[in-house]
Amino acid sequence: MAVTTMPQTKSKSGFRRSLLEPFLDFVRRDRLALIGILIIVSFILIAVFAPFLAPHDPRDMLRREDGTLARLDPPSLRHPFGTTNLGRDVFSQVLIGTRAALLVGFLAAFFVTLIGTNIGIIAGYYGGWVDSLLMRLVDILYAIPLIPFVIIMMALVEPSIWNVIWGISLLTWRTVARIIRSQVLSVSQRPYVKAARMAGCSNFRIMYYHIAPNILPLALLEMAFAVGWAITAEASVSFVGFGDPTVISWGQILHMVFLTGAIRTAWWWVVPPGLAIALLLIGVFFTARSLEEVVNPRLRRR
Amino acid sequence: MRAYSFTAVLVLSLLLMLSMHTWAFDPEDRVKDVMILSTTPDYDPVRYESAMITADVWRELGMDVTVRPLDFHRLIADTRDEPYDFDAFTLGWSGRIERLDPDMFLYSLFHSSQAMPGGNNRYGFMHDEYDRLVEQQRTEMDIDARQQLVYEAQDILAEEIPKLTLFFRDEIQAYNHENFEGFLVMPGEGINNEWTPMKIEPLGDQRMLRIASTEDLDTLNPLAATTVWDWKNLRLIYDKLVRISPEIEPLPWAAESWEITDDVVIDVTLRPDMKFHDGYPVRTEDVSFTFNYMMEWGVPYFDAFLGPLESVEAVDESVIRFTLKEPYAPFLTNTLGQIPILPEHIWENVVEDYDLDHPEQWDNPTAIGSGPFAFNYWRRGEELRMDTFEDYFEPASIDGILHIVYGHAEAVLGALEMNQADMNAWRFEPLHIAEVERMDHMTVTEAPDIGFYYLGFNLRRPPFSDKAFREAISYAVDYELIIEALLQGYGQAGAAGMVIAPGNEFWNNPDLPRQFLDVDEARYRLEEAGYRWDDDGYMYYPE
Amino acid sequence: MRKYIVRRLVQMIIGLFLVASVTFLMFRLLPGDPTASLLDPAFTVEIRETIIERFGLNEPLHIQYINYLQNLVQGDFGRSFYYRRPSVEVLGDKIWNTLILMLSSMIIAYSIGVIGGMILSWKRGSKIEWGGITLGLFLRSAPMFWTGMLLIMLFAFNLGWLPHSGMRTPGYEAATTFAKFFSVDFLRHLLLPMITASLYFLGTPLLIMRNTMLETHGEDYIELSRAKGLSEWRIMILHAGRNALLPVITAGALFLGQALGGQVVVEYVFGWPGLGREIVLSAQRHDYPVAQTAFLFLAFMVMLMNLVADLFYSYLDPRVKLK
Repeated sequence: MAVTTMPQTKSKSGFRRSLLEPFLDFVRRDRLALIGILIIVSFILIAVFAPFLAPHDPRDMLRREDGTLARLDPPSLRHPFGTTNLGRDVFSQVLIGTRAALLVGFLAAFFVTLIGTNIGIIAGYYGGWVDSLLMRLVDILYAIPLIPFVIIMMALVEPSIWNVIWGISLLTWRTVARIIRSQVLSVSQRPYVKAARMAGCSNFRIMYYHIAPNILPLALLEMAFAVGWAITAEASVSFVGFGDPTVISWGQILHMVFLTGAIRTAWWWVVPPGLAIALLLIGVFFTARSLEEVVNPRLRRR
Repeated sequence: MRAYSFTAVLVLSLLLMLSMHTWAFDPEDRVKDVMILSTTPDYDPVRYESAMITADVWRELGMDVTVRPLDFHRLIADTRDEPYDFDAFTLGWSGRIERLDPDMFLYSLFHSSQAMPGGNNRYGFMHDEYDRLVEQQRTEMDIDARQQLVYEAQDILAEEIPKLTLFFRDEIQAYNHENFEGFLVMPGEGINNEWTPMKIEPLGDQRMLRIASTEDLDTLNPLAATTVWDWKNLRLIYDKLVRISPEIEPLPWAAESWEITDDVVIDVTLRPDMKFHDGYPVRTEDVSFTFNYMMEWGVPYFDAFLGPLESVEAVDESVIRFTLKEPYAPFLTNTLGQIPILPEHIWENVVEDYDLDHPEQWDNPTAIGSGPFAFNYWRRGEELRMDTFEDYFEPASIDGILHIVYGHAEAVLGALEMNQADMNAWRFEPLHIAEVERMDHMTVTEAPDIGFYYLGFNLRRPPFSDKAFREAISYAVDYELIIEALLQGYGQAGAAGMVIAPGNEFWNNPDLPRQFLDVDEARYRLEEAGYRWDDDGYMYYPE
Repeated sequence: MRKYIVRRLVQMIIGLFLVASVTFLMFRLLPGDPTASLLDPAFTVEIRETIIERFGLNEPLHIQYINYLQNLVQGDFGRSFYYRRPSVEVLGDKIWNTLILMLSSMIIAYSIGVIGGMILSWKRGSKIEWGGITLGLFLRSAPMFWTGMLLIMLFAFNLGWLPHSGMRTPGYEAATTFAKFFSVDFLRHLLLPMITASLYFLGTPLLIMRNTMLETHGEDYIELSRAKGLSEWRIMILHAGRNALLPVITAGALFLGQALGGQVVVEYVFGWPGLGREIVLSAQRHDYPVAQTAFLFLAFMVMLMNLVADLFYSYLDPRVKLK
């Protein structure tokens, strides 16, 4: 009994000591990480309050004072980012688009991490044929490129944002699974896991009670990267026209610029959505990078 | 204790209020879950946005509407097959030249025989009188009598409203007037018609007509070609017995003349001394071979035109006799006007020589025909080059045609601007029209479409099974806004019953009633028909 | 060694078989009419049935599956619904276009990235490192299609220096295949998409190189070299650099898979007639045979590159034994 409780307390405080505290410590010292977190937090705030912040309904076809359609108006006080070919306010669209990006990013990353971590733990812990079967599966998935896969899938199913999320998740867990597995392989060799096994703990208990907490930091790091991939993938798929047409997303805004042939004239319609994608991803990568340095201390600056 | 009774009274009175509410307006009776299917904005932003604009008006009327964008192929299949789970949809029919004949739009889209799964009567429109009329117009060889039947059929559609035509889109194109002159504009075809390359004159050193397109070509095999893009080139390489004149009338072309006896036997005299591009003469046997070959193997694209044929035979060196199963009014314009003449000496052994299942699998690498332009080379995905056939009976003045494929509309505009292309193959994106108008070397042309964009209704279930409802709804569509916002004004508003475009002057019934956006009128008509509204403005079916 | 390669090749064939099966099932089992693109909306019911029969789509699913596999083994990848010709032919030329664009941008990105990463690791803690990391992360964050659009706006529309799309100027004359790909005209068309892709690819080698270089700094042999009095520059290139290359190459091979997929958007923006653009087109047209074959091609290329990377890895680091 004592044998099994020991690692539990160890891992709990271990999580705080090994990840949270150094991370917070880092954020205090590392300017990049601080900027990253600030960026993400601001995007979350924008997403939550978007309907209040947006000056117009992003789908309204707005008119000028003389009653004509406000077609391709350059930036002004009334339209900070100008208007689209149908007189829609780009600023409001970009604000609302934050929601789609965050929804896809976080949800897909969550699924990816959930699937990937579990498969990684199972493969690493059981080893043998289970391991080789799962890892061969991972190998095969590695051969399927993400964006073409989601594009084809979206052409077959109904174009909805949930299907984009499924599409991304179905494939991207491969990376997490592979990395988690190798970590599990080394954790399994640690004395307390061996001890737990000798004490007759169930496999399930060992995997999720003793091993899982030790790979959590790594899983979180992978999740941060997955957020980045998912956002890029959603933007790309929407950009080539296979996104959810009923949900305004940054990729979709850019798709419309391209489709209507406004790229020649309307720079204000091109620059903001792309900058929003880049900015959010920078926030994610900045944060991920400092997480990475926490997980892998050798990267730290002296 | 007091608090309890207070709560009880409150709950009871609330329940009472709710039930009274329900008694007057059963939620089951609400006009709800009305679903408009549409293409994705990627496939066609105009159709998608039209659906969105319409949904907004319907919501104003108190209906609960969803617009569901579907991939184009899904949309085609879902509106054509069971379980027909939709109430309305936005689609369009492109104005191919053979659709100048009213048969396709009147018969295939609305005859009750086409209402089964897979048919093009997506509305489930059943009308005996209408069926009789469109069957009759099909076999009526007297053109004025046929016009009358066609008018009457349009009247019925205007009255029954299985669909609303939203608009006819103008084809805006442009050509370089410093390089060429003499462009012809045809309804539905614009300047990219079969006469333009045959008739234009070069003005300077540029003697090759360069046509910029965003559409890739898929094949040069006339038995496999299914897109209008393939045919725009194939009809120049392969000659046809009849061509539709710029005034949209059948003109004897590779045929010298025709003679019709008792409506079912047509004797066509072939123009003498014509040659294929490889030097072989064009014989009457080549013509009869072509039709028999296509009937034998089956060519889906021409099925409707070949179906009425009983037999085709070369009578002598100059006459080919076509025998029909029954009179077929579109015979001259569609059967003779669309089917290309194939050289027998090339096609007769293709299947055996190349070990094919069907001649449509042959890639036809040299594409030898007898048309005004001869195939030179085709770099797939890049460009197709055809050279003027000097042995043609009316050789063109230009040296040839280069059909160039660009990645997107932006590139087409750039090519026109930089004098890398002389005309565009298809209409501009609305935003590009102003750009091209600014270019001094370009002339902008405008042609009315003969196809149409429409809002179809599902007559198999409520609410659109109710004719009064459809009548009212014909006033709840913002035809003007769609044209102003989405087409930048380059189009004409549609109405109920308008399946034959005004640009197709002979067949279009000019006396059809017109509708326009009038929400009060729509509401009034709905009220007359017994529809009701609750205090929140939601619409309910008649009791 | 030979045994190892044979085993890997067998694994590859099994992998391709599975990818083929998965895509086959995906196209048949997901909702959506597999025949939609074959059929002109104007066709009557009878014609639809004939066409469906002609493409063997009326057979039960398992028969279609067996037919598909049998044909695959015989090198018949199916006939495009749209082009009506073998899908392999449709994709044949496109593969080269994709590879040229991808490899040229990868080479540029990796050359700059590796050298840049070395410099960053040596300048640890400086402003240069901070700026370099930020730049690397920014490049990896800006979506390729957006960078591409900005470059088109600037260099093609505003300045008019470079063509905005396509691969060659129409009506070109080219005597040989070599001339088709190594003409000034072709290179001018290649430049913008290549820069777009390399900017995006650059971030990964830059950051990985820096990270692995940092890891080697503490290693004994570096300390030893330092003690021997070798110059920092020499240590950096010959010792640390060489060992740090290994993870960069592994990551590069894995990254190739993503690059092949991600390049879809670059080809789309620049109208580059490659595999990726064809995938988008085939998805729009529901041209299943082409999409399926493109998938198989991509999978094959990724698997092949992984194998090459592994072999290269063992060559560079003799400690790694292939088994």
